[in-house]
Amino acid sequence: MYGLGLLKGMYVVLRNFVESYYKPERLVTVQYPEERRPLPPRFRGFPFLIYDDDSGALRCVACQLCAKACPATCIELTMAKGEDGKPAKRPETYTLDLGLCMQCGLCVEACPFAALAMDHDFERAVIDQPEPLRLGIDQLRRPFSYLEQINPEAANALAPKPAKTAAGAEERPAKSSHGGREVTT
Amino acid sequence: MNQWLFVLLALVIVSAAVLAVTLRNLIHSVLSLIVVFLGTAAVYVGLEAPFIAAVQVLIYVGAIAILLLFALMLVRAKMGQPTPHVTGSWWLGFILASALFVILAAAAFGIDRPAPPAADVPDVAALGTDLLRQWVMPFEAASLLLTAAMIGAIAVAIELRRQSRRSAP
Amino acid sequence: MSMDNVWIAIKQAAVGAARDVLYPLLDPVLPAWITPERLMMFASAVISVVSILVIVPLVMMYLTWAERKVVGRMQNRFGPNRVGWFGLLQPIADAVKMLTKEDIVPARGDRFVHLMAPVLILVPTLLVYAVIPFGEGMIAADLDIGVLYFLALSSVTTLAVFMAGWASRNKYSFLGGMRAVAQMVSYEIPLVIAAVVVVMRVGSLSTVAIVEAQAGLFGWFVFQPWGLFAFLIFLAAMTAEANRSPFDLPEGESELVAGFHTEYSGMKFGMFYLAEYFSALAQCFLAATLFFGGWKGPLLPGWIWIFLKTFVLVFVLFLFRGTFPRVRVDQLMGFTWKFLLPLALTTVFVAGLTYYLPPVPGWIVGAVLLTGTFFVLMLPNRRVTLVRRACRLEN
Repeated sequence: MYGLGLLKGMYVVLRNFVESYYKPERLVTVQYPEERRPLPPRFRGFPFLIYDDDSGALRCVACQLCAKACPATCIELTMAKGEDGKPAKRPETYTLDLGLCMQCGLCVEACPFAALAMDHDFERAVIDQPEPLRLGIDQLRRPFSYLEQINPEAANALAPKPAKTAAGAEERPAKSSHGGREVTT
Repeated sequence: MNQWLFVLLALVIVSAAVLAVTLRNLIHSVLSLIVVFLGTAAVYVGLEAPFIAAVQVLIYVGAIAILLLFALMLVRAKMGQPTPHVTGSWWLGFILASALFVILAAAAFGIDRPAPPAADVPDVAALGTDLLRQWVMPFEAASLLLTAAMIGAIAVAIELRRQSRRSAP
Repeated sequence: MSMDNVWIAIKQAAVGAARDVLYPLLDPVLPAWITPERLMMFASAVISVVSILVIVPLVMMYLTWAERKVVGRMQNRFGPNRVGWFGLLQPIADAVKMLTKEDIVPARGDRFVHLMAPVLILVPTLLVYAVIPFGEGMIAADLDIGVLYFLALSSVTTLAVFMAGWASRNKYSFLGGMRAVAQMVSYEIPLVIAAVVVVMRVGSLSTVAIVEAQAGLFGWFVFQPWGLFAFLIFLAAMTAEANRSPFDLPEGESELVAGFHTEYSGMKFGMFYLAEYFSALAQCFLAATLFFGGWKGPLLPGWIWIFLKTFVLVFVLFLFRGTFPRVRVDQLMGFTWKFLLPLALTTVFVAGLTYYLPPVPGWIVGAVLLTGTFFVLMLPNRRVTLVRRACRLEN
């Protein structure tokens, strides 16, 4: 019948209006600063460097693969020199330029040592003095337990390197050659 | 009607009318004409004819002024160009306007008119009854005229549409 | 003393005060033409005007708040709820924002016309509140030509919209203005004819007489077939006259930037905004008066009834806004000229016919004729115009 479509439409909207007062699925707004929607585990914020909880040592060996993989060239790092002048397998400086980083996650995929992961932090706006946009190692370090908290899936795939203790040969878990996210489950 | 009120309204109407014919910008001239219409409606209110006043606003301001503005837009007159106020044949206009003024003055002040009827506030219902009983023939003639005008407008518009469709690929 | 009579009591007190206190006080300095009667009339008028100018903008401000909350809920979101409890201070925040913005006039635009357009749109929309009966005896001016006065002043706003579009010297504003004028002029015709249906049956243009004629429980004109159809036509035409969704093509945000009020900022834009809401509210008040019995209703005082009826109609307008997509300009014109106008003329005919028939058969005959006309008029309005034109070009 003609004109019925109009009335049906109005009825649907009216029902939406009335139900929004008592049905939660009809009012999907989240009152932002007070309530936050939980972020999906694979959410890509800025990258961070993983360190082992026990030893406090970064996993990064300063191989420069992340810097080469980054399309925005926002990572700069230098390798530290050991006591004897030979290159040590750890970074001396690691600088991430927040102005350039586009949170694509390619550095994380490129790292063979599973030393990087994407953070869930996106609230970086400030209203007074702008914070420095180039983050160093101290601002970029997070423990492995933090990764387990925000992205347990990735944490399972990137199981920690076993501590080099004299006693107890812990099984080295099988790691893929990429160390990246080939999580399937 | 109060004399001072009438004088005030007359001043407004006359100055707006003078502006309407002397302003360079055509849109401003139409706006002055709208002031004339509104002033006339106010005069009707003062003469205790509210129905005529409301109809004046509804028809003149609400329809005729808009028609004038649409006509201006469609003709795309050069708005900014200064047009000369005084053309070559100004003497002919002067003669005709003076003749008209003499005739109207003679009609307004000379001839003895019958005294206006007793102050009976005209009723809208009486107006309607008269319009549909005593004056029904002019009423129907006016509606015929309007119908003819509407048909003419539609005919012109359809013709234009057909022409443009033929010319467009 | 019920709330009904408070306003009348205030008015009488003011008039009495003018006669007994004010006039003797000012007598030495007043010229002779200010008689006590004129002073009393002036006092009465001042009370009416002040009450309208205080109450109506307040109602309208919270109408904008209600619109945002209601339309938000229809769209599965809260409306504004940050500015006060439930966002109640939002209209005040909006007003402050509009007052503090810079007033920009386009460089080659017509300054005088740019200034006059918001004024010309706001004044008539406030003047029409003088003929709305807010309760028994609560009307600012009981004119004999009430409805005609209302309709005449509503037609002046069309001019202001055109002036706004013209003065902005912007082809999009100008186009928006022309479309708005075409829309408002076209929709005025069914609006006036729908009002004329009621006037014809009542026999008077006075809004007070129209309300008095709707006595009784089912005496409201909307329960008659011609009244129902006249109300539906009035509702559609009123939505278009106030440039509200789904007929808000002239001022739609996604069409033509903002249409005729693109180049307006600050308080001038505020005036357009105010005028749109005042106009919608006034037309809802008129619809409640013409079709729903005005202030008549059992138990509660009259002014509560008329506000209730008006708010229900305003909620229907919000529902239109939340439900329907914007209508295209050719669909808009087709709707009024090919559907609303013939339906309105048929309603006039049926209203006249049923005047001479006895009540019950008259009701049935009227209902049958009008529903028949409704369906018959659907036939030429079925298809979208563009499809037809494409089909014809192929042949």
